[in-house]
Amino acid sequence: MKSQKSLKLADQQFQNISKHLKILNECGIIDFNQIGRERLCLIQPQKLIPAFLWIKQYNKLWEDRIDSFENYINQIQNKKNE
Amino acid sequence: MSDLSNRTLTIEKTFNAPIKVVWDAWTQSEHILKWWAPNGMDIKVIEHEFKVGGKWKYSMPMPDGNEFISEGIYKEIIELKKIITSADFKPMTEGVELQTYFEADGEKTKFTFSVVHPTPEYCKQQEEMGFYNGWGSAIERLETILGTLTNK
Repeated sequence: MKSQKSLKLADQQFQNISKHLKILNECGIIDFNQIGRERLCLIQPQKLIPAFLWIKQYNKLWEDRIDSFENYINQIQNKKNE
Repeated sequence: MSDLSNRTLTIEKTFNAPIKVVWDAWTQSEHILKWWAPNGMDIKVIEHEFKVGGKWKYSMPMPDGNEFISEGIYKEIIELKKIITSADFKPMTEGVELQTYFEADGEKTKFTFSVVHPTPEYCKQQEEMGFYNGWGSAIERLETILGTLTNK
């Protein structure tokens, strides 16, 4: 996947965010590519997939728990109505 | 980035039961035992002090023999209306806030449940410790920073 957008940063701007970029690079989310004086920074979106999977799984846990709560309430109600 | 929607999971439902039934089932330990754990897994209620400042602590055995502990402290309780509690799910998620709202709708009950994740300050702290659990928001922050820098 290639991003169509590109952004040029002055040295100072790059300094300001270099710490963030470094962490993202350590996580494999961005790659650096030096071309002459320019340092290209490429996003690797596929590296985010595990994070999204984790979030999905985590959300599902809560959805399941609330479903389980609903089932339980329905059980109580049915008993009452018997 | 204090926008709650970026760090909140919300589930809304309407239950087919009067508010008193829903409230009791949500707040009393003998009921919680029946629904808290997924798929009828075992759960132990270690502590359950349902009052502001009171502590709750549940434990579920994991297949590897360890215990999965969920615990928190009630911050706010408004009878038949609202419950706010802190919550730690060790080792998965720590420092979240659970917000539950109840509203009577005839014989039914409107229910809104939110899991609010830690503040950006907390995330930043985690980030500085080299621990990354909010990649999505990190990207958003990066975008924001890039936006402010390039608009100058």
